[in-house]
Amino acid sequence: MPKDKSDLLQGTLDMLILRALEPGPSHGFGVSVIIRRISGDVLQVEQGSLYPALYRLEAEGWVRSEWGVSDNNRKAKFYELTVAGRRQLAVETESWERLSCAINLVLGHA
Amino acid sequence: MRSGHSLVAPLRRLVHRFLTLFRGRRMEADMAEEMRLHMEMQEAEHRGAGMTPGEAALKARREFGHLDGIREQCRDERGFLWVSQLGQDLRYAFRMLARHPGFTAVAVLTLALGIGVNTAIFGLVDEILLRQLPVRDPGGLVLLRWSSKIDIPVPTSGSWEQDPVTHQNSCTSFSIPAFEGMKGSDGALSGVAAFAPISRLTVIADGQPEAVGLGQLVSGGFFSLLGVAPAAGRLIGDSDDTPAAAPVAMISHGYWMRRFGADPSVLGKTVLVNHIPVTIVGVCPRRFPGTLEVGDAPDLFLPLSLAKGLGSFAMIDDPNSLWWLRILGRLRPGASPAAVRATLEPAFQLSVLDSFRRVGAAPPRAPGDLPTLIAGPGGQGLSRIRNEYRQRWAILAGLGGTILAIACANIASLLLARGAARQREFGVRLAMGAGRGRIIRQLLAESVLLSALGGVLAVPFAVWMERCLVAMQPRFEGHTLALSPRLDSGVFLIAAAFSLITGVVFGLAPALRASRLEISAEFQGGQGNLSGSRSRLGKALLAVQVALTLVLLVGAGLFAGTLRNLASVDVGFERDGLLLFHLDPSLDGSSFEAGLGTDNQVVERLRALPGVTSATFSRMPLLSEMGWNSRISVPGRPPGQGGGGTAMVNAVDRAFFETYGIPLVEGRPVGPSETSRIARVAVVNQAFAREFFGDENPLGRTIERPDERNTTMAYTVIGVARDARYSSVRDPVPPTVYFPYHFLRGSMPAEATFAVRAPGDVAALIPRIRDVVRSVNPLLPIDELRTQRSQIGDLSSTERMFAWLSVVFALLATGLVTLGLYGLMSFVVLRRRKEIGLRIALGARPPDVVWMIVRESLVIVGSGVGLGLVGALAATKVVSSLLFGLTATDPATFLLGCALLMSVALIAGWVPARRASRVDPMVALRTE
Repeated sequence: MPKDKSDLLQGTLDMLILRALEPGPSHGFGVSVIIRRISGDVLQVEQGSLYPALYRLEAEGWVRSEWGVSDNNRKAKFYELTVAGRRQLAVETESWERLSCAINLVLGHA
Repeated sequence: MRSGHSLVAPLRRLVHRFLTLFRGRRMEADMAEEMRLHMEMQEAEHRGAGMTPGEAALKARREFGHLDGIREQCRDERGFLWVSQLGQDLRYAFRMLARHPGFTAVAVLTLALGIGVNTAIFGLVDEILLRQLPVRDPGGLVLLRWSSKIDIPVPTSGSWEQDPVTHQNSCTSFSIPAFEGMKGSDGALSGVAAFAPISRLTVIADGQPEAVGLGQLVSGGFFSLLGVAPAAGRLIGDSDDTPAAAPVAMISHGYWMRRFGADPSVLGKTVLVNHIPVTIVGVCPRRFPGTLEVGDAPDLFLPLSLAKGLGSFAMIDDPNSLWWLRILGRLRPGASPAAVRATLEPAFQLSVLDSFRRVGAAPPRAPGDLPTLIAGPGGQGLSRIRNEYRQRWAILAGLGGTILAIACANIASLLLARGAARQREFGVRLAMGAGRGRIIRQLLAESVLLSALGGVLAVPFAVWMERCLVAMQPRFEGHTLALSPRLDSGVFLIAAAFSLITGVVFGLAPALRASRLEISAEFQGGQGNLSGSRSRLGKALLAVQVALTLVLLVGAGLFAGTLRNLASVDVGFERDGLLLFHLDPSLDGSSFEAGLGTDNQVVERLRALPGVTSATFSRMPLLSEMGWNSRISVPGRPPGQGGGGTAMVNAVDRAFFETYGIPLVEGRPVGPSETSRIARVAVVNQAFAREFFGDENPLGRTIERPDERNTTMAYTVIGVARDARYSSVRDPVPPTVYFPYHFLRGSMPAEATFAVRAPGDVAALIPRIRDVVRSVNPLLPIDELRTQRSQIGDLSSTERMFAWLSVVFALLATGLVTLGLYGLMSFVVLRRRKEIGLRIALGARPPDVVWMIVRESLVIVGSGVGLGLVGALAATKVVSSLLFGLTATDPATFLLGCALLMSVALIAGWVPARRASRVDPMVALRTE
């Protein structure tokens, strides 16, 4: 199980998904589209990581899911941030900023 | 980075994950649907970008990736990871156990034994000590008792009991006026009900006489107070408990099944109980045992108003002059036992003053001297015997616990040895990234699986064992325990609890040990320094087993010695070749003279039977736990030297001494005519002569005894009989006076225990004895038919049970220790193969090698024996009151136990040692 090695990656992915859901509920496909778009096509989330992450976030209580109908009238499962999820996003964003700041300092770009 | 700021989040996560376990199928469908829809959207996007439908579908499918893999990951994220792993662990454990059938069989059998024994014992302890009556809210019942600083001048038929803490004596019997007074008082109790045992009932149903052991008299409100629903018919009610009411009875469920084949037409049937016609109106529920002492199961329940007519307490004309009722009350919600006292004590004390007045005794001067009431727990009914035997059952539970501890230690060391053999496997798994926790869990799964298998096998074993325990007839003061061993959910629950605890206990140490492994060491030959500490733990476990086994061996020795000593006591009469039975010819209301006439007729016809050497009857059988004592004094001697004292009393037929084989050392026995007419003569035993007459010759002297009307009667001593035991094998022979049977006239019914002496097989006489009794009176039931030897054997049934159990347990434990030690020593030899080979190569002779190994085995057992001696000395102190003829520190028993274990050490060490000494040094050194 590669869990230990992908810890950083996974945490980052969690943060990205939470961020993608911040404006409002979205289905899994939508989340991957949002992340791709916001990152300017740099970050491509594999479905193999996306769905396990979504299920994990749901188990953590940070998102909740519900079946609904998408814009183009398709059935889809929508994910929505919970209050705990918003708090978690804030925590993760802050710690990410600290980390990236520190890395930037080290790299001498700040 | 993960949350965890509050307790709520993890809790929520747990609940969520737990719930998903049960929503598995729906979640699975949801997941498949969600992923399918995702691919559809992707496909639509691709089509929007201008692909053909086929291309778009293919691309979407390819982009999504390995569907099953993703689903698997999702499952992992969602559910309890460890639950799915537990399944894996169990499957793996099962495979491991199946691969080693020998080990598995030994371990499972050992466990089944340990768990089964404890389940059985616990089941009985539960039934005897802990179980509450099957009535509405048994916790709300109180049993009344009283304690008094002064003597109560009235006979009491209830039981006296000493509080283990305050050492205060208290009694459970009350007079009828006391009960009537309490019924009227209102307050802390919502009601009171009275009851009393009534023994030796004769029931004639459909013309068939039968002696029913025991009945229970109950006041009218008894069943409604308890809240018992009848299995059939109706309950005895208030209207049945009046002198004018038609006589009715309820029967126990067991009696209904046994005597009437559960026939519902028994309701309304009229039977003769002690020759009174009584109508059966109801059947008690199946589990309701009455409220008498534990093990007493009355077959008949009769209203109190019938007491006198049934011949019970028939001699008592004045209700104040005998206290015989036991009283249960039901607490009002929130009421305290202290409030009960305040409510009922005035009525009780008034009745006490009445009793004093009626018997002409001066009432106590200070009001504070009057007896006081105590309201104790009543949810178990009468509990004197239960309380008295508590310690014995605790000892039995201790025996069971010890065998379970030995089984645990045994399997722990087996697992340890196997863990050693599996080091390489664990090494591989650790190296491949398995966590330590995972390995511990794996091993625990194996041990819990083992114990679960053991637990399953333990259930039939426990049932069988419980049956054996009951068959051993642990008797409580003459009552055979009326228990029905059964397979119920309780037994399963207990077995399951024992298995789970056992599995964790014996599995934990080996599992922790196995996981503490240096991976590198395992691949560098694998026989590094670890083996030393590993077998140290194994040796410690074995020493503990040896210690516990020694405790069991010493206990077994002491109990077996006690049984042997009890069996070889000289009882003072010839116990073999005697058949006993009991008759009560006055049950049909005939007079004492008529009853005695029947007794005489029966005994004469018995004497005429071919093959009968002699026959007799007496009021009291010998060595049956029954006794009858009386105040005796010798006129002209100062108190303390015959002027007054207590002696055992019996009323005997002329052939008593001849039939029992008690020789007279002086004088003559009771003469033929003296049995049947007033003759103020008596035979005393040697102990009586010593205690009451000292050096003087008692022949021709006068002894005095107050009769039931408190008139002093004088009797002339006509003979001195050799000392014979009366009611107990353990106690020294008490001073005893034998009066001619006729002496009972006016105070007791003409009931008697008959004794028939015949050479050879006395049991063969039984049909002819029945014929004789039938020829004298066809409606006279014979009861308590048994041999004198079996009656004496019954006296030590508890000792026999302890002896058998402890011997069997000790032998089993010794067997387990032998196996364990042999296994460990074989393992040690295997581990030290190289070293031994080296030693032999360097010139060590085989005896040196043998001694080296045997010494190790002796050291283990020796340290265990040392530990066990300390434990045994402490443990046997507890049982010293059960022993007879030896002390709790009996040196021979201790020595024997130690010797047995040391010889086990020698053998279990010697066999592997021999093998070791034959090691070819070249082979050993070339192993790697």
